[in-house]
Amino acid sequence: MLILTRKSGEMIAIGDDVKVYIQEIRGNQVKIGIKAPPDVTVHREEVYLRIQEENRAAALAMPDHMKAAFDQLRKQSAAQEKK
Amino acid sequence: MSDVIAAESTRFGKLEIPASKVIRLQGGLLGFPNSQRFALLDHDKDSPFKWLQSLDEGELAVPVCDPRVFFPEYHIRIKRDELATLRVKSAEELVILVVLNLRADPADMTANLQGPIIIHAERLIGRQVVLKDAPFSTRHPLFPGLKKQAHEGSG
Repeated sequence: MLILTRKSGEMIAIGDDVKVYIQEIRGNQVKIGIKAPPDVTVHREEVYLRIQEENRAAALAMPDHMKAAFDQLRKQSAAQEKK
Repeated sequence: MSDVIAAESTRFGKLEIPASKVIRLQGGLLGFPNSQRFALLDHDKDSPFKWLQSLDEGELAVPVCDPRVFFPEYHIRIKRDELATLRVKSAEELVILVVLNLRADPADMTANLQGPIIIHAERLIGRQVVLKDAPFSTRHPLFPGLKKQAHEGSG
């Protein structure tokens, strides 16, 4: 991993298209501005990881589970119709 | 004659998908960068639940559905330049799906409302987007009524 020291107001360029600006440093928080082309997705790591995790968990589903979900949905709509 | 894409799947065996129905997800499904080509498979023709089956990795399939079936108030905001990569001009051109986490017990089933998959309805090119600061969670209960009952029963 490349480690760089930057001051507030300075920039890092990644390739031709991506620029990372250090906007503000206050205590243990850094405000970062990222300029990247639209096809480069930029995420806060924790949200991104959570969605990856959910996808992995979702991929464990088997046809029986989907049947159970559909049965439950039908049960609910039938109950609603009765009301 | 239209082309057919043949793929093996662990759940559904051999699949033959017309090339015109293949969905391409830019960047793949998050966490599975090696899958870019998918097909939407019905589970039951009346069911809103579908399988988003990878045509690149046979074992990869996730349950998806139209979020509005369960969450009529669901809406998303996507930046114009993010839509531009799909060449989407208006919201009407988009199909939105959410990935579902289905378990044996429906009370444990959840929908990932923070990471919807948006697809250009005609071009079938899409991507999974990460909603920032969204009021929706990655684990929204699919059947919230069931959860409530369970709590009342135990308390």
